[in-house]
Amino acid sequence: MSPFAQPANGGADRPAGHAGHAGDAGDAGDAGDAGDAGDAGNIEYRVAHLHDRLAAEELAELGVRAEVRAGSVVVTGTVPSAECRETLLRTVHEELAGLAVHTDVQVAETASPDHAEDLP
Amino acid sequence: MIRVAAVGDIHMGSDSQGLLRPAFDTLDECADLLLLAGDLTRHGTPEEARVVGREVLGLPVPVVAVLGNHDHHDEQPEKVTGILQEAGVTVLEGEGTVVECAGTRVGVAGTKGFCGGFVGRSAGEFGEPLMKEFVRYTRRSADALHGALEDLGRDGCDLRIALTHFSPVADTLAGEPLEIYPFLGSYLLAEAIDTAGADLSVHGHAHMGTEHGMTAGGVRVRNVAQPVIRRAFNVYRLHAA
Repeated sequence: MSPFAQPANGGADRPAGHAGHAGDAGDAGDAGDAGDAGDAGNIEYRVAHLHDRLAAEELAELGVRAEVRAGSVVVTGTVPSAECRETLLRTVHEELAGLAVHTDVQVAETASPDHAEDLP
Repeated sequence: MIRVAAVGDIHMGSDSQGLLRPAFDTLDECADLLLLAGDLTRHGTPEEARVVGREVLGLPVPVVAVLGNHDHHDEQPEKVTGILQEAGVTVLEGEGTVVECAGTRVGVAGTKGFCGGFVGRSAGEFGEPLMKEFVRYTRRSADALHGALEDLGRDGCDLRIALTHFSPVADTLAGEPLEIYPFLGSYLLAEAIDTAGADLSVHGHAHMGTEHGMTAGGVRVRNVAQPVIRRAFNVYRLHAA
């Protein structure tokens, strides 16, 4: 997947106060509490920092999309394993603590195909 | 007729061992070879490459792979390649290989490829040295793919397949944000495929893209990123002329 959102420094130099580790992790798929006006003002940068973390940390995840929609953040995509999904959701809720977050993250399917495509 | 199984972007890590093996063990029932379209690991570490190697070791069909950008992240692509080769995988970068399948000579030309975008919306070889090198890197990859496909044609292959990680066409990126298309592939790869000739083009990289596409020259393109095909692999039946 493309590293279009990946920073050179993994976001390590971001300003204090942006780390967002203190929040309630919440439940996957639930909408959290809406942020205050200050959070809303920074929402785009917080999403950018989330992308940075996902790429730089253990997941090396570049294929998950996080988009701001009507003041909340929608996180979608497919990850390689159930463990990756847990880590992803934990990171999302840490990084976006205080914001309304909706998630729809699937685990890649590993079944054999039930048919082949004929290419005459 | 030969049956080509293909998947990319399996992104294996320490928690992945055994996830794909049950499906891979059925390959002898449904395929003649397996293509791996890059991003086999998450960070490109030797440890992750060993997970991939164990997952494909001793499979009942030949395995041919290219690396992806994730497989380069730890800056040890040669080591990743070596570990996969020890597991019996033919790893291609700017070269081809011939697989004999029930009397049919199948040529696979492979390169990771790179990005730059598509006609009319692409990066140009102009300006700063870094920008020029960006485009030249893609051009070298496309030129190598072209040469490998031509060599396979001269070698009398009945079928030729272009295997890349990055996409040669925009068709199979549908579903990705338009703004990142230039980071997902390059028309230079499609031009190489069309001018040298191929029966199928297989790539990965675009997790939110679409499976089906075609080059301007009419070569069918399939995006086999695992999140796209939603299977352990897909199978394509190709018919030699």
